[in-house]
Amino acid sequence: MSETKLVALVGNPNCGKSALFNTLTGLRQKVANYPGATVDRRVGRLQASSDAIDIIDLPGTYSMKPKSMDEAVTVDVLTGTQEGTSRPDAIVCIVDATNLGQHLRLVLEIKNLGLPMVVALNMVDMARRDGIEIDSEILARELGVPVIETVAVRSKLVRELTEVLQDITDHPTPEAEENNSLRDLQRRARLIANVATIKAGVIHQATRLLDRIVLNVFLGPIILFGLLFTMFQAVFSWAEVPMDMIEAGVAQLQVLVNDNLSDGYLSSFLSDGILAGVGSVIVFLPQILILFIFILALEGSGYMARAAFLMDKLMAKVGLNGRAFIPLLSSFACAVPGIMAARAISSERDRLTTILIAPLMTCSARLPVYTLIIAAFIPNDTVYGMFNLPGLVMFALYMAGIISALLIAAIFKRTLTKGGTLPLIMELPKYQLPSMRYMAVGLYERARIFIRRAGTIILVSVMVLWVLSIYPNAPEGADHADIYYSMVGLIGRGLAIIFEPIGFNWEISVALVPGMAAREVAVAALGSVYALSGSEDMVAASLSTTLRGAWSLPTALSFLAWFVYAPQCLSTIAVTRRETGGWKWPIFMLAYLFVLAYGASFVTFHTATYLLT
Amino acid sequence: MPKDGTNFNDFPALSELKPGAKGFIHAVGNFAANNNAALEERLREVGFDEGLPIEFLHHGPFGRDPLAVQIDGMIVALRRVEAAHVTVALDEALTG
Repeated sequence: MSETKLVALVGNPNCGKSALFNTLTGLRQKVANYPGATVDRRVGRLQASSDAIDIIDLPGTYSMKPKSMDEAVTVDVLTGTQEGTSRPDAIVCIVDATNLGQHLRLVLEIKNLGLPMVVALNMVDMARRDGIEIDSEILARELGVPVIETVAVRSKLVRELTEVLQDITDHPTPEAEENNSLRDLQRRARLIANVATIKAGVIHQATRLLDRIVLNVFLGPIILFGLLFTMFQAVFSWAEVPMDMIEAGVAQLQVLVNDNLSDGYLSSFLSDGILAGVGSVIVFLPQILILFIFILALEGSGYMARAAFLMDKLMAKVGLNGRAFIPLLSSFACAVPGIMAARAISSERDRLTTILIAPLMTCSARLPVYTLIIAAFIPNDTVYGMFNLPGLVMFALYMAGIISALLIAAIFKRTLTKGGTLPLIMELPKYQLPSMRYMAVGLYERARIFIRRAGTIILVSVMVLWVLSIYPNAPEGADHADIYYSMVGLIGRGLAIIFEPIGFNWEISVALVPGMAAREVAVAALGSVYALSGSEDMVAASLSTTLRGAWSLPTALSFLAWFVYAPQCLSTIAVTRRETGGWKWPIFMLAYLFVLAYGASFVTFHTATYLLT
Repeated sequence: MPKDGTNFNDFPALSELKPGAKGFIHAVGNFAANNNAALEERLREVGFDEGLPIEFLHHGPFGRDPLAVQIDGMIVALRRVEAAHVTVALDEALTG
């Protein structure tokens, strides 16, 4: 009895599947990957269940004949051929009550799998609002499986489903359908939908109305551009207060350590190593959360698909698919989920191009780097009466990444990944207010990942860096700070030979190395290196003040240019290797980005030096 | 019906229509020289089927591509080249 049962959630894209998953499992879920295939696999324990029942959320699919890699995962899991996960014991098939005819076809296909199943008639609240009335008893009779009405975002309205799931595995398996051609199943699905529908409504009027504005030929692009612009301005200006508070807190801790511990290794380790390093990264949590609030809201509201619609033609010009817009936009958060999201692109070539350019989208780990340099070197002025200059520079950096990505995609399309364009066929989901729970779970997940990284990768990096910057000791009567003679100094000075032509000093050169682990570590490393090489006054000053004294403006700009292209972090390389099935493409990606970064920094540094002297 | 030799010229392709056009899907794929089984399957999976009401809602801002159409209870986006594989029996043609 106590053996854990596995129940899979299956449905068309946009049926409210993930929302239902969140409600069924609460926060007791974990995101994991399939071995060898990095589609997110979300598994969670069913809430309020006496027996152990795990729920697995599968990528949305239109049919059991997969057209893209993430649909293939769904089919493989359901047929028990996916490595790393056992075949589910039962299935919850989710259908959107406002689009019953279309969604029932998948139910008919799923019936043929021979597993106990239940149909969740989801979004009944929206259906009612549109004037649609469905008799779930008739539906259950026609389908031959239990049908339960749900409103995914309200936990009260999924309770009945939770109860049915308790003994779902004891249900009889449904009878298989007789005719299996796509067309026959489609017709039968529509027939059943017609019988079960008491009253047909009118499609979501608000959606049609909003689309007339959002997809308008003139207004649409303006709104899209305005939204993205607002997003980057907000990341900069809204985060100011919480960031100042965190910064002040870290500084207070440093003072506390310095006051209470006698000068020595322990005090230096805590204050210069851990607090300066980890503290300089933690401070960016508010910005990353604000960025994610926007991305989650755009996704949850249904706007993201509209953005893909508006951008499709331009994307097609550079040989990409409008669908590539979604992975590329999520790459602003992090290239890793972006590269994984590229699995929804059915063409292999388009997918490869999307993966290769995804790291050019400025990920949130680069935000700390940009913010730090901008705060140090760009005056906080208002220009043209309404724009915040740092926000504007930030926007320009993002645009530089986007424009480069499009140009490079166009070049790849003409050389590496030649071929005709492939279809764009996608559903535009109905608009809805993103649910608070959806936003909260997403933000919580992000904050946890970020803090965990700060506590692991970043902590370890700064600890190693601290040790290497203490040993060996400086010789007697040295003119430089101790760190100059340490391992870190040695490595930095060695690398500086390569980076000197683009204006990087040895401190920057050495910070780039741990920056490979995760890009924001570069900031942590700079924090530690400068804390150790500075006098007591400099330790007390913030890192940006220190940098203002230590770097020239051309060096700062060159550093920004470097990070627009910055050879990516280890996780990006690892995920690219997994997604492309070998080392060829990640090595190529690393090489081309390094060349671009070096070239861009070289041009920036020398142009700026020329203009400023 | 579509397969029995009806003259397809009577029914315009979705790709030739303008926003506001309304009618019923007359045929999906499988006609003229545009035979493309994979595309037809994808169109059917996403919800295109003969006899369903269809309405042309919007087109994209650049090059009037892609198109957004409403079929039954859903809105689907597709490119003009793909829309060439769907013919529509227009309402006005039926009534007038």
